[in-house]
Amino acid sequence: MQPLFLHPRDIDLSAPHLFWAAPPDAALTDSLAAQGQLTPALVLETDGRPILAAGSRRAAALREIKGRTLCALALPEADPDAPALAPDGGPLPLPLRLGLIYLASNLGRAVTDAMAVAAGRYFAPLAGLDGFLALAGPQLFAPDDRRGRLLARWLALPPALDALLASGHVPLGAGERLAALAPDDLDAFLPLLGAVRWSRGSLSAALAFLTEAARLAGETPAATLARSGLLDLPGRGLSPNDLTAGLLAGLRRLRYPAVTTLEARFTALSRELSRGSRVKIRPSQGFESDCATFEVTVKNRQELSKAAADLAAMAAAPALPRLLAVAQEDVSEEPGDKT
Amino acid sequence: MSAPLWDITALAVDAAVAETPMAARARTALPEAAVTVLAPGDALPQAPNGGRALHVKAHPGRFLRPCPATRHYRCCGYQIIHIGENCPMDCSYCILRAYFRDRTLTAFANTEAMFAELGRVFGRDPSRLFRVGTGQFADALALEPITGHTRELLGFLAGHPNVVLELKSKTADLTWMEADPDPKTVLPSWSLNAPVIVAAQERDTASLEARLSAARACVQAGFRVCLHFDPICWFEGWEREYAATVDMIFNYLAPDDIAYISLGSFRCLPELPGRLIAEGRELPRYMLGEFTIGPDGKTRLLRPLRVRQLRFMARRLAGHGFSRGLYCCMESDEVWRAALGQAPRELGGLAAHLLACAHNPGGTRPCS
Ligand code: SF4
Repeated sequence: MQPLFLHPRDIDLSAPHLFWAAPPDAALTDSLAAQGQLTPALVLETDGRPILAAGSRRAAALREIKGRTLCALALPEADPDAPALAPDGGPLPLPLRLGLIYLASNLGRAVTDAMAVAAGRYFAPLAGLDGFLALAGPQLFAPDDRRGRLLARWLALPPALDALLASGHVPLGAGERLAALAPDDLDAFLPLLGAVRWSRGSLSAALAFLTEAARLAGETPAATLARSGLLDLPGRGLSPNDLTAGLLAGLRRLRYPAVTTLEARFTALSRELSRGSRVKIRPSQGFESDCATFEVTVKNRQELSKAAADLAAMAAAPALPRLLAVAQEDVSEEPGDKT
Repeated sequence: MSAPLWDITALAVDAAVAETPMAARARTALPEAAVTVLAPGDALPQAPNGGRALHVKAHPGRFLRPCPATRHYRCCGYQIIHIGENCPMDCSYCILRAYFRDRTLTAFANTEAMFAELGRVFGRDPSRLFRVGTGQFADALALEPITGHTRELLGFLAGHPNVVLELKSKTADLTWMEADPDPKTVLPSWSLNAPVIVAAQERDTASLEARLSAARACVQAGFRVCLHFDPICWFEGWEREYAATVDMIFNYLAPDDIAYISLGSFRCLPELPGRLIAEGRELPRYMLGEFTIGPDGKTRLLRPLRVRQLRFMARRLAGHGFSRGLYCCMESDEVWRAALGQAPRELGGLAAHLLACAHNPGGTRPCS
């Protein structure tokens, strides 16, 4: 193979098969300036025109250094000795070959979820989902890596969501739940998706609350969300943790209005009752019976005496009978009532 | 050729019970079914044409069992005679979904062993009263036209007047009447539900009208009947729907025709919704209620909502003149008091109360 020396500005660095291309950092530019190009890039020549197959960061860095050319090796148009990869046993179409060369040249790099999705966005339209996983899967994932399945589900989502995956707001595992939303509902939820860093569990819970609340109300999740007031929450300057907790609590309230009403009443009464003491009060399991558990931890006689006095005061407090009978009050709303 | 009864296209009979009257009745009732006699260890044959198999076999264990209650909720003291397993109908809320993964139906043909056990229990003290039912793991009457199980049982119970047999079903089958039992010893009973639940969630069951017509036929033959609102489901418009069913009852029956009516809010094992989804079904809306896990580990509607359901039903029934013999199935004293105004203790205990209702229509003790 003869090396070619190409002007980096003559090379197309935005070709879609360079799906992991990233701008060069200063270290690479400095190294190229000082040491020269130590590793050649790879090109495929078609119709006498070289197409960059690997080395986009080097090419981009060399563009910044006056008078430098890109050293590249030209790969043969089709390797007669290579095993047949195309499903029909024939030569691979050029775009697939370019993509696979690019992947192979990146072998050894840790593949993040966002990188795997970027590869999927390139390959899947060319080879189908199964074809993509068969061709590129072994280069992307270890054999025991379950991300292939998750990736396939993510690719059903609009590409606009990939940025939220790359920024760490949404995990790959949430793809299936998100893909189950209708496009309008997904659009409506988008502002909340980008507002916090969701774990798979918290996003799954949030979407379950929302879709079930909507189904009970006989409306779309978008409509439920619009009337919930939750879309305003990200603009209130809450800390990330408080915002996540607030969104989850708000969605849970939509789904379980009676349960959360009961919980709130119990919490308010138990606070009133235990104010100034270290006694913790818990309701019966599922509010099934008219009883509560009072719990206090003591380290010495004095603390025990204080707890005993606190408990005696609670026994006489008017809030106690209300707390014990909290589940006797009606909390029902008609299913489907708007909250 | 008419469609096979309950889609049964295979009849598999264990060799040990191949000569029993039940096996013979099943052969006669299923003339088109592929019949196989199974030696010990033989596998069940595949039912032809995508149908299901009926396996007639011997039950090796005890036949009489207490109703599966828990200490957390008030139990009605019912005892169940184990006659077979699985049901040809398909209710989305059915607990059998958790127990049986395939469609095979089982009927126990070793009735001699069953009668020997029952005779020992029921005959020990003829003054002791029993309230029993059949089919802990099956509908009591679904297979009756095929197996004649209940007719055999009624023949045996004729010698045990201290036993009242409740026959709980969602079919309109009355073939058991051919046994000509004493009407005082049988309580035919039907599960009822809201019309939309019957239509959408109780596949292959008899319609409400058919169930209530069958109940009226029983009353005309001198029987009193029982009704069960279980599960009462929570969904948009439930009050209107359950009111319609309650009102419908009294187009067919008078309050005195009914020995007792039970009320039970929907409850299930927590894994039931997942099972339905795994079967490719959409989760019914009533399974999306506001549930909590009760102390018995079952998913139940939040207590104030259950109370609202039960109270509504009690008031509607009372409006038609029925409050005698009304009880809550598997509920706590708190719920009893809130819904019905009294706890089982004030009735002398639920089991004793229902026993009195079952055996003594007039009652030395008022039923409520
Ligand atoms: S009729 Fe009864 S036993 Fe049969 S599926 Fe319905 S609930 Fe289950």
